[in-house]
Parts: sequence; structure tokens; C-alpha cells
Amino acid sequence: MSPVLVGRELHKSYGLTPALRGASIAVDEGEIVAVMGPSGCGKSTLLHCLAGVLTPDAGEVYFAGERIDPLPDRRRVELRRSAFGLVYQFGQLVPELPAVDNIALPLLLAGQPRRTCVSEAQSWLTRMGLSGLGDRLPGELSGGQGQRVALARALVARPRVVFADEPTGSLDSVGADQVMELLVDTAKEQGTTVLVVTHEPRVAGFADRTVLMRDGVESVRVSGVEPNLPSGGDSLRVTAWDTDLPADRMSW
Amino acid sequence: MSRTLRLGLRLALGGGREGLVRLVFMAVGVGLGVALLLLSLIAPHALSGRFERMAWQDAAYSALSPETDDDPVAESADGALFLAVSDYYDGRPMTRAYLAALGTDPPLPPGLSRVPGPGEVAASPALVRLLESTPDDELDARFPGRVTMTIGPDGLAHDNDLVAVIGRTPQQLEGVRSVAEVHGFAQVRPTGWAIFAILAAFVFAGSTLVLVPVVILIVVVTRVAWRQREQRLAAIRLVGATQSQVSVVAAAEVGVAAVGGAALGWVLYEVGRRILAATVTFQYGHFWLQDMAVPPSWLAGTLLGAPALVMLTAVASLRTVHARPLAVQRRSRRPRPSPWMVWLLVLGVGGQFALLPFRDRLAIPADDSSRSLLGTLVALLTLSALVGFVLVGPWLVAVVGRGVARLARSAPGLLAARRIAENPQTTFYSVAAVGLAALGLAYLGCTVAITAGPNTSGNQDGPWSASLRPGVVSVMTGGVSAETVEPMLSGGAVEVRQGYDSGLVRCADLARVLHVTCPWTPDSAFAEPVYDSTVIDLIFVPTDGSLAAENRVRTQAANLVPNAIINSNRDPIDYNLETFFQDTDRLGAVAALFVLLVGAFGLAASMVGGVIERRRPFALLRASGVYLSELRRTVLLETAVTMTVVSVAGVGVGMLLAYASARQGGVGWRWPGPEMYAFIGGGVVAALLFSTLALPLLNLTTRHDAVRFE
Repeated sequence: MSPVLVGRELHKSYGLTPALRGASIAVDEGEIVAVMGPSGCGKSTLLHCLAGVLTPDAGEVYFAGERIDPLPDRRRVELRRSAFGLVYQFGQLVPELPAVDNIALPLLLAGQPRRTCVSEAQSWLTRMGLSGLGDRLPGELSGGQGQRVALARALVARPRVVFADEPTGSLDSVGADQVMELLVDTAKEQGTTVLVVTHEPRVAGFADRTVLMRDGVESVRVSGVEPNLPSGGDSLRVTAWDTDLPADRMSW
Repeated sequence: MSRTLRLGLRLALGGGREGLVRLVFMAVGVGLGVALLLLSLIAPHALSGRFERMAWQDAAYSALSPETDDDPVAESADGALFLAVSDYYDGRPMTRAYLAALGTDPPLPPGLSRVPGPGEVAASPALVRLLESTPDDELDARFPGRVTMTIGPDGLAHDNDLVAVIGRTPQQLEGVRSVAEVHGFAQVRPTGWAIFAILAAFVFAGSTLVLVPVVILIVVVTRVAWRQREQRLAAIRLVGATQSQVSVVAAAEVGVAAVGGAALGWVLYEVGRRILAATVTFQYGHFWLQDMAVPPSWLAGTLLGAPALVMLTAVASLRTVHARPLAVQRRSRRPRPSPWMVWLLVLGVGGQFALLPFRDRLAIPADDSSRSLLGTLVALLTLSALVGFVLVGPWLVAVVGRGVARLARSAPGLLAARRIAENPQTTFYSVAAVGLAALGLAYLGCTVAITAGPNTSGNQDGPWSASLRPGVVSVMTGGVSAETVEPMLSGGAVEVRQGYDSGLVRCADLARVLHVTCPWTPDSAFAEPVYDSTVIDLIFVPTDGSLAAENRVRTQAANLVPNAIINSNRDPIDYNLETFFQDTDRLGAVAALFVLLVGAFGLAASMVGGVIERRRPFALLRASGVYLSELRRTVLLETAVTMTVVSVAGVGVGMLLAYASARQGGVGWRWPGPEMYAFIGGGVVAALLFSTLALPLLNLTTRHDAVRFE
């Protein structure tokens, strides 16, 4: 299977602070990949570069065989709108929109009729176990409920790739499991590729494969086989990692 | 307490670049609010200052009216004979005052260093200039004597005031009608003038119109970036700060900006009042700088009140949020605005119509110095309508927001409508000033001053209500012998002799000088003389219509009968009311534009606040594929929809109030022309365009890095 998403030798700095130094990754169609690593290792920056939110200083990003990093901002926005879905830790819901309208938003933006959008959003509410909460504002939902709404919003337009940045970061373990189960099940059902950034091994356990980013070394450690990865020199090492490994044995 | 205060100050000043920008923004907003409020509060003081400066001219009237409470304080034992007469030059009002000292210690009119002696004339600078540019027989001779001194600002209503004090001997003034012995000029207040009641009503309505938007502006500015502040304060709360400590920190944090803003406002006010004094003209002249100032107590109240309002807003806002580990959350949905608030608006507008059957009885003042009950009730009902409009506004925009949300077909439309429906208070108050400006402009656009226009249609209520034919000068003598005015009676002059209870003149003669038609009604006492009288009340002197000829007659009349009231059809007979209404119309429009300006600032501040408040969801929407143009459209739609609704409502209320005023009398009704709608529409569009200055912030605050570093 050919990778749907590829990042090669990605470099990105914020001012003088480097976040990525030659990170590379390839994700297959329908695959669920977790990117793990401690805070500040560049996980979110990698995700944003792959999603076209940020432009890398150097390196290449491919989506479905097309190089997307040099595209103008408008084209990348179109791509995110049509092919990608994004989920964040918190705060992505529009506070004034009730849950049903928050979910319907991507469909409305795509120009679909309001009635269709609302009907589709209602079905996603049911699917997420949020029946009857469609009229609630984000501020009136619990953290877990809010994240499920965010998940529905990311998936409602049936994107090819969902990027999730610490999607369970503000939830307890039960809530986190619920959200991840919903994400993984729906993605499998729709054939959606998922890239999850997390620092929680428990969350990474839901992924098919986990990519580790080394804290402080600004390099990429990748589990599994990555045939298209460039040779990384001294700083790039590939480590096989069993996702079933208990959390206390994950050291690097 | 002091440690907590210090912490608040540290947080306010140590917030980095973003914190500094926030502080400066708030300070500028508060400064503008304070300055605009102070400048609007100048109006009543400036007007009363102007009238007080000319009040000394009423000294003779006060001395001759023992029932007046405002007798001048005796300044001298000797006293002086005094008379002030209204006169005109080419339609411009001027005052001729005669003063004869009765001893060595006469009272001194304001603006003079000494009393002009016989043969001396004290003139205002504007009159001196006019005298220099006018032939002697037209004007100079009207002020017999030599100009030896100029009158200072204390005795002049404005810089273009035409005033002269003519020094006379007591003998010269003896026997002149209306001359009075006065012992002082200080503390004379003009009383019983209808203009003061009207003036008070206008100033009252104007101040309300400006005060509300300014308070809203200050509150809106205080609430900019409130979410971020709430989060900081919640973090402090989480480490053990009590609610009162958090309140102190919050108050200190905004207090720094508010105090800075008040100081900035003071500076802007000082600059602004100088600009206004140099540029604004009212009734022919600029205001004196000393009058273009608020009283010290008002200044202190505003400079202290604005920071207090800001700090109270900050503390009050804390009561609606609840600190949670990762953020703060509002305790509950804000209470929905209630339609019941409309009762105050209904009371204000409906009450004015309900008063109509009783207007004749209520319009009579209890005494000369008080306003009529009708005037007081109308002022209170107008205030009620304005407050009602502001209170019912959120409900109105919530209804519109919900309706638009149901109909919205696009994402920006839905986002905007939901924002309006969920935050009706915030969205309404951000445009309330524009709505009030629309209300004021609609009121002015639908009313017209009722003034005595020239009556050229012939007999109406009587011949004296008919207007003069062009070139005719009327000299109202107050009753003098024919010998006194002998020089004026040649050359076709028409004299009106004193009758039993009215003047006597041949109708055919009268028709030569007035717009009347003969024969007059048979029962009229004016038609034909019934007995011979030697006392002349009134003389009409025809001239060739030139200004020079008219002025020669005026000068001759003034010298023969110093107390004569002299007019031609160049003069605005009802000068004060007429020019007051004209100027007030103009100033009213300026005040409405002033409110619009406040509104535009408030709108921009509100837009900035709305963008900052939603920077994270907007940034994340942008990251998820929403175009910046769609976010821009959302923000503009929120403002435009609300502003349109509120402006239309404001125009409606303004027209209703204008119609009620017209039915009560005092002003006339006119259907507004397209220019009024264009003016209001243009103002609304201008305010919207001004608020778009905040749009670049949308791009800055929702950039992709805002997703990560929020």
C-alpha cells in the first residue's frame, strides 16, 4: 500500500528555536498512527506541517502523491477543508454555536444545503452518543462531550486524513478511552487515515503504529518499517516498538 | 492588601508586549471616552456662560422689576442711570447701552476698567472694527462720543459681539423711558426667557444622548481581552487566592490602564476644548475658552468616575465566571433579555401622545422663572424613551439573531447570527451609540423650528403682525411727542399715534409700509383715527432699501429716542429663538455625528474584543480550512446586521418622538426627505467602515501559530 501522507526531512524553527530537524514520516491510507514524545519535542509542529497548517522551512510534504508544502495558502486551506479533519485538545468549538451547528459547520462551508447539514450532524450526534444534546452550547457540555462533538465535526465531511493533536489531553482516562474508541472505530469504518499526536501511551495504544520523537535531540524515531525514509545520518534512528509494551518499559 | 495590589500592578505592567498592547488599547479607549464625555458636558456650561456674560445688560430691567428675585448686588452707593437697547446692523444684533454716573463711585459693567464719562464710548473689539469700516453717518453717530476704551471678554457674549457703552450725563438720560438707577451689575440673571426652558430640554437630551454611548464605550473597552484576564485570574485563584484578592488584582490590573486613560482623556479634553473654542460658532460668535470648560467638580467627577467605572466593571465581571483547572467557565447562560423592558420605551413615547389632550393646561408655567409642567414631563418621558430604547435593544437583536440563524444558508451567516442571538447584550451595546445617533438625527430630520416668518399675505391677526415692506424702518418709540421725532416725519414717513388702547393710523398709509390690505375690517380700531393724539408710538420710515439709507434712519432714530426699538425686514425679529433653533439644529446634527463617532470607536473596540475573545476557535477554524475572508465576513455580518436593525429602530423611535413634539408645539413636523435617510445611512456605513480598522487584528490573532501558543 502506498503512503497517503509523507513528510521528508522536515525542518522548522520558531525564531531561533528549532522544533524539527530533518523529521520524516510516511503514513499509509487507512492507517492509524500515533506520534509520541515528551513535551517540546516537535510532535505538534510535525502534525501541523503535514496538515499544511505550517509551512516547513525545509523538506517536503506529500499528500496522495502531490507535494503540498509549496502550494499557496489558499490551496492548502482548500485541502484542509476538503480532505483533512483536525481535532485539538480543547477550544476548537465555536462558543456561540450549539453542538449540532458546530458539527454541521464543515458541511455548510462546503456549500451543502442547511437541512442536509443539520440532518447529517444529528446523525453524528447519535453516533457519538450525544443524542438530545444538539442544542447545547459548548460551554454547557462536559469535556468528554465537547471532544466528541469536536470529533464529529472533524469526521462529518468524511476527510481522508484526520489530524488529532492531544485529543484527549484534557480528559480523564475513561473519557479519553471513549473518545479514542470512537475515533478509531469511525476511522476504520470510513477508511480514514488518522495521525494522533499524544504523550499518553494509553492513547497511543489505540494506534496501528507509533512514531516516537526524541525529546531534546530533535530527531525522529519511527516504529515499524519505513522503506521510503531517507537516511537520517547520526541524528536519525529507527526503533522498532511494540505498541503493546507496558508504559513503564517505554524508555528512550 | 498592599501585596495583592502590587501583584495586580505587576501583572498589569509585566505582561510582555501583548500585555502592553492590551493596556495601551484600554487606556486609549478610556481616554477617548473621558475626553468625549468631558467635551459633551461643556455644552451647558458654555451656553450658560454666554448668557451670563450678557446678563449685565438686564440690570435696568431687573431694577425696574421689583418682583424679580435676581436683583443685582449693590456695588456702589452712588449708583448710575443705565439703559441697554437692542439694535441691529445689517441683521446682526448689537447692544447700545447708556450709562450716566450719579457720583464718584458708580457701578462698573463687566469687561470695563472704569466707567466711560460723558462723551466717551466703550466698544467691543468687533464693534470698533465695524465702526472703522462704516461711514460715520451710518453708524458712528449712533454712538455719540469718542471711543476711548474697549470692552473685555467679561462683558461680551462672544468675540463678535457688537456692544457699546455710551457715557452720558444724568441730565441727558433723565426722562428717557426705561432708564433705571442701578447700583450694581453683578449676579444679574436673565429670567423668564422661554429660550432657557427650550435650551435646558435640548441640553438635557443631548447630554443623555452622549453619556450613554460613552459609558458603553468605556465598558466595552474594559472587557476587551477579558477571557485572557479571566484565565490569569483563575490561575491565581487556583493557587489559593481568595475571591476578594482576585477582585483586588483584577481592579488593580485594569486600574492602571484606566488611570492612564483618564489622564490621556484630560489632555485630549484640554486640546479639544481649545479647538472647539476656536472653531465652533453659535449665534454669530465663538465661545470664550473660559466658558468652553466643565466646572471643576464635573471634571474631577469624570476623571475619578471613569477609572471607578472601569474597576467596578472588572470586579463585577468576575462574578459571572467559575475557575476550573484548565480554564474558566461561565457559571450559566446569560439571562435572556426580556421583552418586558419595552415598557419603558412605550411609556416614554406613548406618554408624550397621552399628554396631548392636556397640553394647553400643562404648557403654562407656574411662574416666570420655572419651566412648564409640560416641558418637565416631556423631558422625563424623552429620557424614559431613550433609556427604554437602550434596555429593549438586546431583546430586539436577540429576536433578529434567532430569526437570521434559522434562515442562514451559509457558514458566515450562521456564525454571525448565532453570535448575535447568544450575546445580544454584547452585540447590541457595541452598536447602541450608532442607534442613538440615528434616533437623534431622525428627530432633527423630522422637526423644524417654528419661527415668525415674514407675513406677506395681508391681514391676519392684525396689522402689527404683518411684516415690514423692504426698505421700511420701523421705530417703536414707546410714546414720545411729535416734536421729539419731528426730523423723522418728513419724506413719506407713516406715524402711528397713540389711541385709547391701540395705535391710530390710516389704513392706506399703513399699506405703504406693511404687507396689509385695505380696507381693514369695519370693527377694527386700527382702520381710522377716531380722535387726534399728539403722542407718537410708532414711525415707519420708507427708504430706498439700501443698507446705508436704513442705517442713517436708524442712527437718527437712536439719537432722537435712545430707547427706541428699531427694526427693518433685515432683522431677525425673533432673533434669539430663530437663530437659536437654526444653530441648535446645526449643533444637534454635530452632536449626533459626535455620538456616531463615539459609536464608531465603541464598535471598533467591540470588534477587537469579539475577535480576541474568539481567537482560539477562530484560529482553529482557520486551521481546519475556513478562509480568512469567511471569518471577516462573519465578523462584519455580526456588526452590520445588528447595526442595521438598531439604526432602523432608532429612526423609528426618533420619528415618533419628533411627531409627538410637533403635536405638542414648539417645533413643527416635516416628513424627512431622502437626504435624511442618506445622511443616516452614510453615517452607519461610515461607522461600519471605521470599525473595519479592527479587521487586520483578525488575521494577526488567528494565524496558525495562535493555535499552538494560545
